[in-house]
Amino acid sequence: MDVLWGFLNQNVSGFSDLPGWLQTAIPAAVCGVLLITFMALGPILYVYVETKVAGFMQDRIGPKRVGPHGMLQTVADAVKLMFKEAIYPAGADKKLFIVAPCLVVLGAFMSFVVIPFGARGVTANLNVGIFYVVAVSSLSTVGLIMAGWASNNKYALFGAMRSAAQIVSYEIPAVMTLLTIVMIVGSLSLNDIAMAQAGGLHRWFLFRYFPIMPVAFLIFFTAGLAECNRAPFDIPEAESELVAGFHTEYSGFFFAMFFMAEYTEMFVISAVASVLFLGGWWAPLPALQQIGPVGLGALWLIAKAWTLVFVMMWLRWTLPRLRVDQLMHVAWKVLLPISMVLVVLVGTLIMWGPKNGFLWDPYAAWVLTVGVFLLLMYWLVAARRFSARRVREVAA
Amino acid sequence: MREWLADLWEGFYTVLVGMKITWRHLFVDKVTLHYPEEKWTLPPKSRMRLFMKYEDCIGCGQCARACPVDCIYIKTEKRPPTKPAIWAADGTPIKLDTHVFDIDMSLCCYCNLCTYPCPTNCIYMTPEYEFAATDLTSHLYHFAKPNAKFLTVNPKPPAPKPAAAPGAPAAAAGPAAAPGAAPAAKPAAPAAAPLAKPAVASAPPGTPIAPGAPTPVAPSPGTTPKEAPPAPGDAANPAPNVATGTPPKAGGDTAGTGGTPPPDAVDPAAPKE
Repeated sequence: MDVLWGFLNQNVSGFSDLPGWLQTAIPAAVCGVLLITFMALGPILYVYVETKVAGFMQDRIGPKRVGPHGMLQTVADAVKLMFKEAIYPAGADKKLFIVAPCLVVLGAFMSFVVIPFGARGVTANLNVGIFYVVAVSSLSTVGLIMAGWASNNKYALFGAMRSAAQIVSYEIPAVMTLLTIVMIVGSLSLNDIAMAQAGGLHRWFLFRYFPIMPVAFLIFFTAGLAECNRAPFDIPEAESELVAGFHTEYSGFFFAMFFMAEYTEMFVISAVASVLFLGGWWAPLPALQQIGPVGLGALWLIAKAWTLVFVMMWLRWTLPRLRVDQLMHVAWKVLLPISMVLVVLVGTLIMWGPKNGFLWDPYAAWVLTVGVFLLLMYWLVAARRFSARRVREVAA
Repeated sequence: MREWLADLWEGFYTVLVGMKITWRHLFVDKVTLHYPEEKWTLPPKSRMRLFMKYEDCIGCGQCARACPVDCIYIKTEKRPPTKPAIWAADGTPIKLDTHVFDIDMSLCCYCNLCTYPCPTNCIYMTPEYEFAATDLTSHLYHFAKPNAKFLTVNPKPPAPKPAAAPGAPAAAAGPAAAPGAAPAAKPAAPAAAPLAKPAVASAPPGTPIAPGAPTPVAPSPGTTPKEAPPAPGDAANPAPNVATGTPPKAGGDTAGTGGTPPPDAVDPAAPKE
């Protein structure tokens, strides 16, 4: 926003003569429109990718009829949902029923404001960035509970209560792991955190204090997965137990809003995780950062976030849903103790140990990255060979 | 504590194992059949939509009688002698005018029982299976054609080969089960007993049928001059002939219709089935 304000101030005559609130409001509106467009169009892409990933992982091919390779399928779905009637169940609290999905979407969208897409490409560089993200993303919980309560449906209420319990539980380990990073950087601003990871892949917080921060990343990612109600933590909308959880009674555009919020939240969690652990807009190699125009950093961030979104989908189609007690077990007896130990460890290291990670961090980072990449490629090749063998067996 | 750590490791490890499996399945060849663009090759003798060749129908009504669900509706009338004589493709004279021949495919149970008794093999199952409709009545197929071009000359006597004339009566006299069978397979008929055996032997390999071709049905084994109950009765004859897989129309000119060998050849043919 500052960039935009500076641009307008210099190039648009009369901009500086406007009243102060308008000088703030105009760039803010432009940024808001850009972000909302990005967020609203994002789910169309994510849902398409999700269906394709789901299909491919089950040896199917997913949608293919609408548009080339079925690319317009989600567009058609979105249009269909918009034109469908919104049904209000009998006995529902109509005001809450309408406000709830808006609140859920709001919670997902508001986090975008502080995500830095570049050194200066941030809408609002809050000095309490992480705090803001955590606070705002909890807003959607309120929306979920409202939706469950307003629906006048016991399944919806069940789902809402589960989601509340789940999000409250998983917020704690997530925030604990955030603490470690905040301790290392000494700032809550997401922009400062990204800046602290400059200088290549081995400087990312994922590989700091080598065996420690990777664990922190795993905990944060798991907790984030639970916070956006994705499988295997999708008990609030467990379709085999509760019909559809908190959005059982929703239809038409309101249902689409829940859907949009879920996928936006996926992206937000992934983007925040990329900024915190994967170096934000920094390229894996400093040399790569020089390629292209200045604004290209945003693409690095989006690429990282999309990779994490893909991992979320990957996990969804891999793991079965957890039971409620298992969910609580994971949150309170596994993630929380580990994250507390991490906080203590990192604090101790910062106080009396090396300030910026161990000496072996760069080696571990590169070995691990290259190793994981090679392993995935090997599995790819193995899958092709396995596939060819199966084709031969079928033919024989 | 040890148990807790072991659980932790097991959970983490099994997640990785699962992710490995799904990752590999991302790149495995897909099993989806792009249905409207590509289709399964149907197995031979698939029983799909019924078809009736009106020009060959003699109106005997045996198919309607055999139908377990009564989905074939036939109305016939004795052909007035003033009208010119007509014949089916296998030489059976058509003595009845078939005014209505309707098959309700919405009732049909695809049992194929109607095709066996047909003396002229004019009714058979096609591999055509894409006839979904929004209206149930469009599954009622009308096969009676008012302007059908019947054969006004009996295709039986003017045989292309000289041996046909002696062969036909000999065969007709020979097999007790199918008295008039030989005329149906004219070129096969001249093949005497020794020749008929290899013909039968070579027939079964021909069973696989291209999906486009008409489904194999018994190629005119028990053809009698008139429609006669004994014709479907000799189940021994149609059965081996199903295996020959000859399209019914070709019944007159394919060597594969060795289904009507002289009496001594019936014995080797029977154990084949």
